[in-house]
Amino acid sequence: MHHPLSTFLLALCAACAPIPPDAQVPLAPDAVDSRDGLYRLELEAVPQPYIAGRTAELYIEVASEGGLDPTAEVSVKPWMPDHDHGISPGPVVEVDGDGRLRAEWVFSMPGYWELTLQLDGVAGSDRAVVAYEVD
Amino acid sequence: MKWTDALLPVGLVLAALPQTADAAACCVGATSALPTRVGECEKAVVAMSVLHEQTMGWWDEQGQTTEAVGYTEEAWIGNLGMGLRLARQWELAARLPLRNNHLAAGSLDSVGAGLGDARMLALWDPTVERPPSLDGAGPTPVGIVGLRLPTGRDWTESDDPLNADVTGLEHGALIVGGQLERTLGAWPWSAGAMAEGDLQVAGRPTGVLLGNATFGRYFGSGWTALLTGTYTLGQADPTGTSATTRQTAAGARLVRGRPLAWRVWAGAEADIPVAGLGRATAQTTSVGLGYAHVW
Repeated sequence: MHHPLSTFLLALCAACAPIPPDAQVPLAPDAVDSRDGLYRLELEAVPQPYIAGRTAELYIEVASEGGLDPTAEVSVKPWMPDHDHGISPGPVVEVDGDGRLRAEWVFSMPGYWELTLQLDGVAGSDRAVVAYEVD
Repeated sequence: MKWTDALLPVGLVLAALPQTADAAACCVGATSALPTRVGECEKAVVAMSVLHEQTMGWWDEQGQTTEAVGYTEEAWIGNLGMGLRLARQWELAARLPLRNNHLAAGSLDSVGAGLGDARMLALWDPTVERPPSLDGAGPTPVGIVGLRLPTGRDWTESDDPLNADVTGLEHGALIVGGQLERTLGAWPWSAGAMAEGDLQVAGRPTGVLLGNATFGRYFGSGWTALLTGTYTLGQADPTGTSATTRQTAAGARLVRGRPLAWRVWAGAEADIPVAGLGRATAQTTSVGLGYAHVW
């Protein structure tokens, strides 16, 4: 078994290699399928690109196999994986009408951020992760 | 002739100054490249320093440099330090930073301050450094082990939308390091590496690996000028899906000391804004002053 410190040092050394693009997380998509395929999300980011220190909005439309799911509950968690931190306070999500949800928050700094959208609707629980480069 | 050209002969004269006679090891304080280190015949050091750090730009995910347009981040960082020699081979060191952060982005402008993360270190230097003219002279190895304590406010405790009140990291860390030091003679230098492994069990190991080097010239009368270099790798993501952050910095430091009395220093360091020398983190510059009282 590797010692945790040696594992840590090996992980750091491995990181000296060229950085492969992360194919798992779509960058600023207009639509995305949830991880288990239960939902399809239509997304509209405002403004685009997002700007640190200014209000960021994400309009979300949730659909399952049965069509639009206006009853779906969505929580949004911004995360900066390179620095292992999120934002505090977190986003506020409210119903925007026409079956859309609107999330609002402020990015604390520029850089690469991921948003985890936790979904609970008629098809069950699922989640989706999308990424944004924040100016 | 430009004024910088006029400095050249001055520099040549300074470089040609004869080094002072090789002193006993306990004069390490006067020539030290590391002004907060307790010399071999010193008992204790209490140090205070202040540093101003400013973000000038960013390295993005691909390591390209970008400007920090519309984003300002600066901090005044005070450091209280203490070193205590317990025995010929052992030294205890402690450092407590105090941070005052100012961030501005978009329409927000925030200031926050507080205690940073304290560090407690034990340093082991098993050999006596000998002056260059003596047999067996050479660099001294130093082993370092310690803890970073989460005494600062981390992002989960922040009340500020720009995290200006964040002064520390979420986890404590185990610190392990080592370096070679040559503090006697006319050309002091040091080179070493230190790992701070976060004390967290959520996933894969996270932390920081830091390599640093100093190389200087002792001019006599307690004056030493040094060039410094630092390379930092950080892995903060316990899921292991993110590549490491990287920073490469270079700087200079001027140290003046009197053995068993005091040391003062001034320095500046800047991340080198060249593509590939950093990734996914800020490019910063810093200037600082310090004073250490020695017993």
